Amino acid sequence: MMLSQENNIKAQVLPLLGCRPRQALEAAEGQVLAHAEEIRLRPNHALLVQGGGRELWLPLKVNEADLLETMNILSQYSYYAFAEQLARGYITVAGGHRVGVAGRVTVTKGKVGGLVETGSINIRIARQLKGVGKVALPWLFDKGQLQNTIILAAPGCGKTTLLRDLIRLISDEVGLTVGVADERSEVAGCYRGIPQLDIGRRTDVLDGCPRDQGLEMLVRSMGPQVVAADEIGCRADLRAVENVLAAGVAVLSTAHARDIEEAGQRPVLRNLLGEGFFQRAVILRRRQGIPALAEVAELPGRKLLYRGDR
Amino acid sequence: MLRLLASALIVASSSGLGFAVAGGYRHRPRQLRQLQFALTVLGSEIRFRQTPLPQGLQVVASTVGGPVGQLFDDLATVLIGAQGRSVSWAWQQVKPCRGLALTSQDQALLARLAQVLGAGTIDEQVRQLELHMEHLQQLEQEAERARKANEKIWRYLGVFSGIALVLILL
Repeated sequence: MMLSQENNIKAQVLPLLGCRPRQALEAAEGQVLAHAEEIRLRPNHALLVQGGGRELWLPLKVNEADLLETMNILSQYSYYAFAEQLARGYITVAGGHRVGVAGRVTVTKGKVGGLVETGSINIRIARQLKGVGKVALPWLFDKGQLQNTIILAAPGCGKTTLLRDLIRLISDEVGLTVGVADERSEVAGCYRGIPQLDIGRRTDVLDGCPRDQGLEMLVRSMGPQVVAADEIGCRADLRAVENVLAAGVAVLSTAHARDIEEAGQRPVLRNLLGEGFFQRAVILRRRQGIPALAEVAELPGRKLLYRGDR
Repeated sequence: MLRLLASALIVASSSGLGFAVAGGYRHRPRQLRQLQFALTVLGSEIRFRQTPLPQGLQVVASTVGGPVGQLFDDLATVLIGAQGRSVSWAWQQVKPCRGLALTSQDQALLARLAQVLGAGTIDEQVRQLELHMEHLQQLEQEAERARKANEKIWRYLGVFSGIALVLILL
């Protein structure tokens, strides 16, 4: 698994980088790449590789030319073709990796018009951990029916990773048709509309589509039995979930909150949880630094169905 | 006999030289016209399909054909392997424009275009292409005038200077 991750990065990520950063990463020992989660390029600072809770500064001072070269490759010399994506702050590339870009932004009529000068680049490496959803999956069913489920965790605890694997398992192994509204291209890692990560053979993805509209579009167009969306939390989502549930489709989602108590303090989440939209809450926590399944609870009522070992 | 052969050789080579120079005057306006067509094609690829630059250049190459098309095909090939180095850099690798009758003035215009290709929004790119096309049009008119003035002169000059040389040597 580690080896294949390293090969993945070598084949998909390194060719995206300008000459000098690429050589610096090639020269780094294999372990660096195997654990890499993020590769950061900031001008006048060393090249940084983060992953596995550690950070490693490579002996290369990144300069503006490096950023420019990397942007040239990422955009295939075609700023015009990626201007819209860049205005959102990131590009998804082949392999589902996401490249975040910061820099000077132009604003027209109060809205971000585009990112015109690159200040720094962050390559977030997509890694799929197949099987992480296996433990939680059986607890999400009641009398053979998939219950509406929300995954709660603090950032960086593996919400999206778990959601992706649950989608895959429900699609491949349970055999339900799944629709994914992937607003930020994180769940399926679509590149030109085609999922780059394994999300199952009965899964359809609306890539880059706003969650609320995406969920309703999927229900109308693809006839899913389950719809999934990452990080719900605004009022529009509430309405969308309501409509989806009215159509008799189950919902899988995630939200930023350490636990049910904290979720209860967020206005929209409180409504979502309180009005009985969701029957299951899956909570993730870091255990000894590693994200792990903490508990599965029944909603409302918070009856604990499963508790991970401490 | 030998004298006759030598004379023929002198006339042939000098008129060949004259025809070559005349050919330059003849080809340049046509190639400048083709370049304008090429930029129109590239502009519509960018505007309507948002085709990435290397593929856009390949579309241009296959649409235009000939030595001008080859120029765009070469640029696309260099760009694909450029590992992030700029379009200007790629352009420098393609020069000198093989088989083209372009003057240094024409080439300088194309080099300026290479500096802005790909960098900008769709509207900016289309505007830039239009600007360069206008400029190419001016160059074409000028080249057409030069052709009218010089093409025949150089042909005659070649043939007649050959004959004159033969007469002197005789």
